[in-house]
Amino acid sequence: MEHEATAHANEHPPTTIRQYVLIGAILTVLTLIELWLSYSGLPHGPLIAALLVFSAIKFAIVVALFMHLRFDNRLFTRMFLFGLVLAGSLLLALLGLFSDNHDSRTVEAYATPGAVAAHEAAAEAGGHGEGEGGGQSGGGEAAGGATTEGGDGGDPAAGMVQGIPVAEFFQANCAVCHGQNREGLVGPALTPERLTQPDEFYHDTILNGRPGTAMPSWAATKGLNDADANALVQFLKHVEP
Amino acid sequence: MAAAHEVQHHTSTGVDNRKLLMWVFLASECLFFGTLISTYLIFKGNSLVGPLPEEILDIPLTSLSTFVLLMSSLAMVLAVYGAQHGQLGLMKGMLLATILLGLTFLGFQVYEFRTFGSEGLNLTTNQFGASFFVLTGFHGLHVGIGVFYLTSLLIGSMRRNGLGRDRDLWVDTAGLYWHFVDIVWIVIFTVIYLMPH
Amino acid sequence: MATAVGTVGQTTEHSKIWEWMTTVDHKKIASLYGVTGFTFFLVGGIEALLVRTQLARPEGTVLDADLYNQLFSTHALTMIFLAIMPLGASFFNYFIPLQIGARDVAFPRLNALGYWMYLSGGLMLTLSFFFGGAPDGGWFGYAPLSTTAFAPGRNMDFYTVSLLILGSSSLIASLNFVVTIINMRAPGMTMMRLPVYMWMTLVVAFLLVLSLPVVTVGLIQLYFDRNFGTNFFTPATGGDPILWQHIFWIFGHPEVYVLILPSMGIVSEVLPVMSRKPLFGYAAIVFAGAAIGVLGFGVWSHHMFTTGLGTVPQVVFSASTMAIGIPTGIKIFNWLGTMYGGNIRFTTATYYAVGFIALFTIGGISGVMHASPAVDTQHQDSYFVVAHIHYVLFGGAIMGIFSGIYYWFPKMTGRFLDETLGKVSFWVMFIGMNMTFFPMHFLGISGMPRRIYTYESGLGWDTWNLVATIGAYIMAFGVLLFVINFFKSMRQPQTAPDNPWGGSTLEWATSSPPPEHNFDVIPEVRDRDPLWYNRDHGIELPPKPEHMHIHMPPPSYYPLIIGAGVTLVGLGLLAHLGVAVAGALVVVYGVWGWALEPTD
Repeated sequence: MEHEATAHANEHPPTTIRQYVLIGAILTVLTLIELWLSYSGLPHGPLIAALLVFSAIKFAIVVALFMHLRFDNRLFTRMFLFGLVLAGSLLLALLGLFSDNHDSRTVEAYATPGAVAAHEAAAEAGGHGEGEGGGQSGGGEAAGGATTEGGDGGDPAAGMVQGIPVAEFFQANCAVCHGQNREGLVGPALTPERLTQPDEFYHDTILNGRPGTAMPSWAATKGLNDADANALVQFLKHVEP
Repeated sequence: MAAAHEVQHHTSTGVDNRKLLMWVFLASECLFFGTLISTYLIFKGNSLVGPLPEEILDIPLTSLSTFVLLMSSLAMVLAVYGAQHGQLGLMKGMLLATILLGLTFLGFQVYEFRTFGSEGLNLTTNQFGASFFVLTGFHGLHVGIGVFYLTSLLIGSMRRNGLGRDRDLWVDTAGLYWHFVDIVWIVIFTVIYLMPH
Repeated sequence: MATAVGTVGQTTEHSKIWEWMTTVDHKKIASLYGVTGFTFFLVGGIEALLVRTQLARPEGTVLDADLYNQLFSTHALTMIFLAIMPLGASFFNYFIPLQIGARDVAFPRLNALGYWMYLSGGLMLTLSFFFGGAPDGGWFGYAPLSTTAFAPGRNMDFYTVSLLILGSSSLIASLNFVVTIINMRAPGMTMMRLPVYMWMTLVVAFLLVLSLPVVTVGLIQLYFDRNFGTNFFTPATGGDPILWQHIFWIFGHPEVYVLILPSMGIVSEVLPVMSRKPLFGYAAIVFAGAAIGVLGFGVWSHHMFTTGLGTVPQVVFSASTMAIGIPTGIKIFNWLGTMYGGNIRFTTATYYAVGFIALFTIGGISGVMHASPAVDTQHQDSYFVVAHIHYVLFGGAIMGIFSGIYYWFPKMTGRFLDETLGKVSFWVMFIGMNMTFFPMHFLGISGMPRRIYTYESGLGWDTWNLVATIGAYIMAFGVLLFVINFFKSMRQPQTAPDNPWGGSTLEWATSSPPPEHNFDVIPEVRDRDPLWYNRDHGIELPPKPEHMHIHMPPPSYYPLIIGAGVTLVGLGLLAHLGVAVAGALVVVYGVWGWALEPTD
């Protein structure tokens, strides 16, 4: 039994024991370098890039040499890569979908010239809540249809929350529970005639959430500030859906 | 018996059915862990209360357990070498080493989970707790299944007939699974422990 | 493991039932899948009839809201996971080895395990009606409606646990199919000589292998949310219900192609044979099928246009959704091209195949409409979408499956189904189907939302709802005619010749029904249509050898034991974790017995 000739000796990877141990040592060294990098105080961007590169190298070494994909049938490589690439693409797509920025970056393409003009007029008339997105990126559907009022606090439809027009912020964050048209789903309806409490109540609810319900604290989850909450309250109380 | 054996090795592509099954299964597992890691990354920074990862993760300790898992991969590849070159003593010894290193890794994980629990982090504490425990827990489950898999092989190799004529393929296929669990940990270690928070 | 040893014609003392419970023969497992799947198809149909009866008139009182929710949810789950997929799996099991010229699948015992886990998950899902209530949150189980805050009962736990079991079952079956098709082909059967049905099966198996793990993670997270207090999908501690929708539809959209591609494959087999000319554009159909498979992973968010995705994602997913219409269109034109100029025999199978093309095209076109976010926003959650999915799933998937049943019935049983009764049943089903689902387009446009258990009179919905309900009963009558046809035919003697339709693929080269070892001599393949090539070149199949040394895998009861263990794990997840641990031990015992079972 011990001396039985193996049937597939010629198909075996050519690696020797010494080489395997060397590969193990290289992997250990790479891990130590990663560890050192994570303590090195590099800025986040290059650090993340370096860590990803090193872990990709380790990944590739194990797959190519320990799982001997490099010496094995190409069919295996294709099968595995298909799953790996798909998993990676889905991961990137999901991270993209869950990053908060794609709305504010693209509203320009969305807004009609009229809407931008209306929004800029509102901004000049003293609208508040301008975030870092600035006047250039504003507009959006809600502002396009709204009339400009001067005076106290500006146009409630043209407010900005974290640089995103308030209506779009609502659609992206609140509509899941409160409905596309604010008619209420899991959360209560948020139409002007339903919102009979004073502004402070809603302001507080947005920032701190409602314990015991599904309403989270938006100050904690998304970092909303007073001005953001104000813009939302004005929007909800004064703009018909 | 000989006839069946011939049929078994004669496949359209020339590769063994079991190895092909394992590679396609590993492709499927990529999606499994890909989704878990996506969840972890999406919830990164969404925790409302502590303990937060930077307050609780013990990087030196986990580096040690990462090293243990890496060494188990080395032992596994040597077991495969032994099986392929008819060095059955090497194969059995290295299988045993892989199993013990795998169990050590699981021991580290149990210790880590218990420590986190005593420091106030559990599944319900925050988004970090939920996604961390489910991701690393299911990785640990895979390690556990791997230990069971390799133990079965080791016991099988102790029988009178050993693992039979397909010995190298059985050990090779088990090795693919074990290495995959290891490379998943390479990614998890980087993403959870090393990346800045 | 792959080819264990037994002897052909081995007689056993065991009873018939034991033989079926321990079988690893792909044809018997296919029959088990087929009978179980069709039974669940009838169960799902009864659920649908109850739903339609409730909606026949405004302010219906047949069902209350709670039972209605359970019925529409289980109707969808039953039809998708317990009827269409297993009926597909039944044909896969039967015809993969026969069409590629193999004696069995690569892993016969895994095949049996897949069936037992399917049965376990199916019973768990269906019997939940009697144990505290069936799933009532739709087949998509949207959080937070599926979390404990809004679904406090056991209903949605039955959903997560039974779907986890059914998913594992499909994963096991699909891995087996992938290996079999890639690795067990007869000599000369190159990939580009595979029958189109095999190509579609391969694409479906890959879709399942790559999409099921995603929903597995989602279901585990939902189970943890419901039972262990995590907050993956509830916003209370920073979770996100939208994440569930993404995870679900990353699986859910490929799943749609899992349901329709097998029927596309069946139609691609039936039409060339019935038109007596080779398939038009073989390579185009194959690549279109593969393209649908790949693109199918990049369109999931079109189910979520109204969740506030943002502009860029909407544009991207809108474009990819429109793009997937192209390969689908290629296939439709190829089928028409196959029939064009052919000497067509209008058998019942042809009727269903042509019915498939017509109805699937309607469903496909309304699908492309939804690729536009603006249109989709209007149609979202309205009966228009109900009409769309039923044109695709009933008009597409089910019509294709019936075509396959009439086409392959002689091969599987050695008997013919009655053609006259078959055609009558086709027309009854076709008329009933259109009466039920076409008016739903109108209902949707006039604003009737989906999943409402009743509605007020005077909204303009009364007439079309009544028409739809009458249509549903007509459709059910058509299915009943098929059942009568089936039992009538099963009492006939086995008279079917080897190749009654003049088919070109290898399954027609063996007897009807085939022997346990499928082929006395493994045929050699020289062309894409091997039997037609042999006919035209005067090549005879080699004669039956006098001494056959064919070893078939022996029966095994370990798949059954592991299946029972998995059932216990599932019940334990629903009731008490101790039971789950016991189930895990049974699984361990089964795996060990499996591994040590003599196969050499």
